[in-house]
Amino acid sequence: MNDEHQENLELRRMLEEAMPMERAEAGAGPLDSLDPETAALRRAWQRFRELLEAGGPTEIERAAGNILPIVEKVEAQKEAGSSEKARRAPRRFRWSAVALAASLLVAVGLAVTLRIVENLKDRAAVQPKNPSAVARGDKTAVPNQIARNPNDTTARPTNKNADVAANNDATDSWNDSVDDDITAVARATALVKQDWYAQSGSIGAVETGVSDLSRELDQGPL
Amino acid sequence: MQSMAPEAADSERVAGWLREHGGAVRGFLYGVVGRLEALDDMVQEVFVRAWQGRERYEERGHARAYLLQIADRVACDRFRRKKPESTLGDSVWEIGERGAEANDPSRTAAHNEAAGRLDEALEELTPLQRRALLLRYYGQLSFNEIAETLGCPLNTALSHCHRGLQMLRQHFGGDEL
Repeated sequence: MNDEHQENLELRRMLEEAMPMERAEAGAGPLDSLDPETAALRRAWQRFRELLEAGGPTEIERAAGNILPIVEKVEAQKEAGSSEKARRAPRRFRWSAVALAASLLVAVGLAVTLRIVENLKDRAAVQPKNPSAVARGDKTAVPNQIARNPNDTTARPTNKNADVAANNDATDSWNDSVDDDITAVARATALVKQDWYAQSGSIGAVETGVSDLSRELDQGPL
Repeated sequence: MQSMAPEAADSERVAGWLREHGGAVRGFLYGVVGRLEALDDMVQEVFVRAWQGRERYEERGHARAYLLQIADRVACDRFRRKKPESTLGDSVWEIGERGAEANDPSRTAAHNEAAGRLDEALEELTPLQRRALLLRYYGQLSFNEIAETLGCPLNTALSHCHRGLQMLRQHFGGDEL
């Protein structure tokens, strides 16, 4: 490691002598004071420098005045760079304005669409379907009786409640007023629409309710 | 005295670099790539890059070293010297004719001959040896700076310089040394 470092130092010293920099050239030792190897390298370096001075393109370039076109090119490039910067600023502002306008447009469009969907949903919830559909077998239709009945307009029993209601209907007593019977029938009818499984039990309840109702009607005045 | 605007000062500094070091940059690039027809574009690129990086440059009296380091990168980016420029003589004549001094035929012939011999000498060197020696000559770079520019350890840079000089010694030894 130390040997390698020593070799590098020695090589560096030799090269400093063989290739003196212009500012250090005056201080460089004369050729005859150098060891033969370093002196030979110095002569090769001097010959190389002479060729670079005589044969390199710099001398011709100075004579031909080729520097000026390059200055002009650099200046043109510089101006192109600064005008490009100036052009970019308003262009960036314009793009920001367009992006802002586009996002506003999209936001307004979304708001309007949501509003329309909400309105349609509300209307569908309030407006009952044709009651005759129930008679024709439309199991999902809501009968007019329910829509007109203030108690059941928004009633939507769950499947679980439907099952319970269907089971309980068998033991319900129908000896109250006709209004109660009508309410019970409407409730059972509403339960029918839930699903086929619930309906199978609920149809029995509807039948029971209807027969109780007709019995009540037969028995006395309303 | 009125102080210059920063932009104008930058512009003046780069123009000064061009006047003072343009020739060295051009000579270095010619030595590395050996193509005279591409030199103007490459010199222009060096000064454009120097202009773009002027804010990073710290004035410490090493403008030429800074420019040659850029020139070295430009040369590496573009292409390297591949073969002796056979049309060098013609190109030099063409450029020389533009200048008043080129009207002296003996001067141009001498330059032409020297250019041819320089070309032969440069062809003896590997690209790294050529870059190292040209950085030393044109940029007056220290060996540490040469190593930094070449992107190699100091001992490698020293080795490139030493072997390059030995090649030149052999090349010139036959007729002059």
